[in-house]
Amino acid sequence: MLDISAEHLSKYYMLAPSGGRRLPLMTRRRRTFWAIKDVSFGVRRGEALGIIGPNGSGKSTLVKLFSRITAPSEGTIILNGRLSALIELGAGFHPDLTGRENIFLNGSILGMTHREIAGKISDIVEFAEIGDFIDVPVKKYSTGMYVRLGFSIAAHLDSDIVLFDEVLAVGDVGFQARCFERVENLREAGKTVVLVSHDFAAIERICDRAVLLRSGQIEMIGEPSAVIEHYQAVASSALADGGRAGGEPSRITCKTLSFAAPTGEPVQTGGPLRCCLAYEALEPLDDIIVTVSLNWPSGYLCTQLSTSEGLELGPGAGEIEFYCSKLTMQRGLYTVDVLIERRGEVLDWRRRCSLLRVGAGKIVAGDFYIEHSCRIRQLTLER
Amino acid sequence: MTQDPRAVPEGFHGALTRRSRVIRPVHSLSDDLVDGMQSLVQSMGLLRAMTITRVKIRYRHSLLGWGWALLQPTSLTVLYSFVFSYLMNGNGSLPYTLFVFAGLTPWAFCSTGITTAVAGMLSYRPLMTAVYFPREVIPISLVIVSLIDFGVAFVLLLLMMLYFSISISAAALLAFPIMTILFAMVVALSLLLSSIQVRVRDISMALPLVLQVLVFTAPIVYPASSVPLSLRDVYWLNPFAILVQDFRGAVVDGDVPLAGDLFYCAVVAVICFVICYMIFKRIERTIVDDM
Repeated sequence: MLDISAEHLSKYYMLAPSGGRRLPLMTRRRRTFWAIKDVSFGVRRGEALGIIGPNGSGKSTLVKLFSRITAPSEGTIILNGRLSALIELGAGFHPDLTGRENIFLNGSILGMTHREIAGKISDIVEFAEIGDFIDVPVKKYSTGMYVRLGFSIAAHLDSDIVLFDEVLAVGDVGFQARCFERVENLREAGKTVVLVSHDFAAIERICDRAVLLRSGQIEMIGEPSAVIEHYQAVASSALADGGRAGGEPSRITCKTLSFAAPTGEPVQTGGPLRCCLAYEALEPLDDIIVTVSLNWPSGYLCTQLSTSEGLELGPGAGEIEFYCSKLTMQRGLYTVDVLIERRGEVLDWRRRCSLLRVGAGKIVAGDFYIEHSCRIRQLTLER
Repeated sequence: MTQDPRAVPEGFHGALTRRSRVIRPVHSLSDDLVDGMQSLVQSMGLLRAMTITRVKIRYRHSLLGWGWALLQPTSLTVLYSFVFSYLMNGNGSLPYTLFVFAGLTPWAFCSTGITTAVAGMLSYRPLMTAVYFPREVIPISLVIVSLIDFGVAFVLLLLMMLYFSISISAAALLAFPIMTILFAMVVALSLLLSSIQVRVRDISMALPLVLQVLVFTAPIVYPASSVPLSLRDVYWLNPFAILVQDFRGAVVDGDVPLAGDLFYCAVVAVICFVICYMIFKRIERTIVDDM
């Protein structure tokens, strides 16, 4: 059973040269911009589908077509079930109304009846952690309270299909965790979930399948990990080609970066890792320091591989190999930065230029694995 | 499985059920009308919530508060009384002030209803781009707000009649059917103009001008008896002229309007509503693209 099915879906916008319409006499040629072009796919009942892609690839347009905010230019959408879309949270809030009044207004905009809202209002308030502020006009709210209330109302809708357009990263860490919990609950309840996000970790954790959009078309659809890896690889190769921002050719450039386990097994927690960096130097250089930074999917620095002391490199191509006998990083997808510097001068710097996937080897909870062992010492023996 | 007249697209591996919603670039006008009316009935709660919000916040930060609801018809009445009472002498038994006020109350409803509905659509842009709801709720709720203003002005009209010691007859109850027809006409025009306004912003510029001219096409500031005989056939085709005349006749003079006149107006109102609503639904599908 398909809950959402899109058949040859297209959406174009007419871009007027100076904006706005004029009398026919003054009309200049208008450009057609295809936000979505001939996209077909389905979302099964109870499935969670992630949609990723660069900015302007048509992700939000797709969500707007599904949620009926605007109609497609070509093609057909079939929805089986009540759909709700979480797009801009609290968009319908009126600043002069209190939180409570806004819950009723926003709830009815989202399609809830007065009675439904009245039945859920205590849950909504509790989830949003608004407390006594519920009877204060929302213009006095902090940004966090505002979006929490918006999320909370939308999250309490009884829909069969729920679309999230970049709204899970609202509020503080604690609230985000509860947002994800909410999504998990929806999944357990057999709801269909569509998640548009740049948070690949979330897509990988929540979704069964992922769609990669590029220029309004589907570039890839399949396993989230595979789709994300493909996307990241393309994005990083584009970066690597781009080189440094500076005009003059660099004295040393980073060519390729690869990660592998020496035995040919997948890279995994507790296993070995070899990282190989190919470079090309135009002149002999000394005191070179190379640092490979591994970042969590959230963007925070996890750890680094570093040459620590200055290397002496001759002109020409070469490779620098880092070896790590036991990887203590947890499973996941890490983004990689490379920095080559000499006495504080940056010679080459590549942000997010590659990816490191660490598979599940030694499984422990927490931030990292530490090498450990255990033994039993029997002190007394009772029959 | 493909019994449904809306054919199943190729490659669709599920069955269309009664709950399925099919979205295409363009739906037939009759589908739009039927779907629209259904969703409009389902959106009564939303209409209520939006109207209440408008009413609540409207005068919240103004010093005069609800006085504003009275200010438009009263100020115009004062103005017209000043200007015209010298020109129009001896108009039957009614004091001119009362005569003008009784005509201006329904007219003020029409003009503020249409003006606020046309201006209001764009102010809902952030909401409309974030969530779908039947967009007609916006202009309709704004027209209802002006109807509430009308109610306030109507009470003032009755008080004025007491002041001028004119008795209120049972015929005044006919104001309800008259206003219902007028409401339908205003909703129809608001739907049409508010949706076109999003694409062609000239509407909101032209509207005040047009309304200022239109006020003279109905017997508001002058009595119907002063319309030249040769023009009367055309003059009375205008449902607004009939409704304003009948409203004043019923409320102030206690005259029962001709059933045929009201029937004619009702038919025109229904036809207008259906046509305007279909146009609105057609524009509504992609209205946010132009906002």
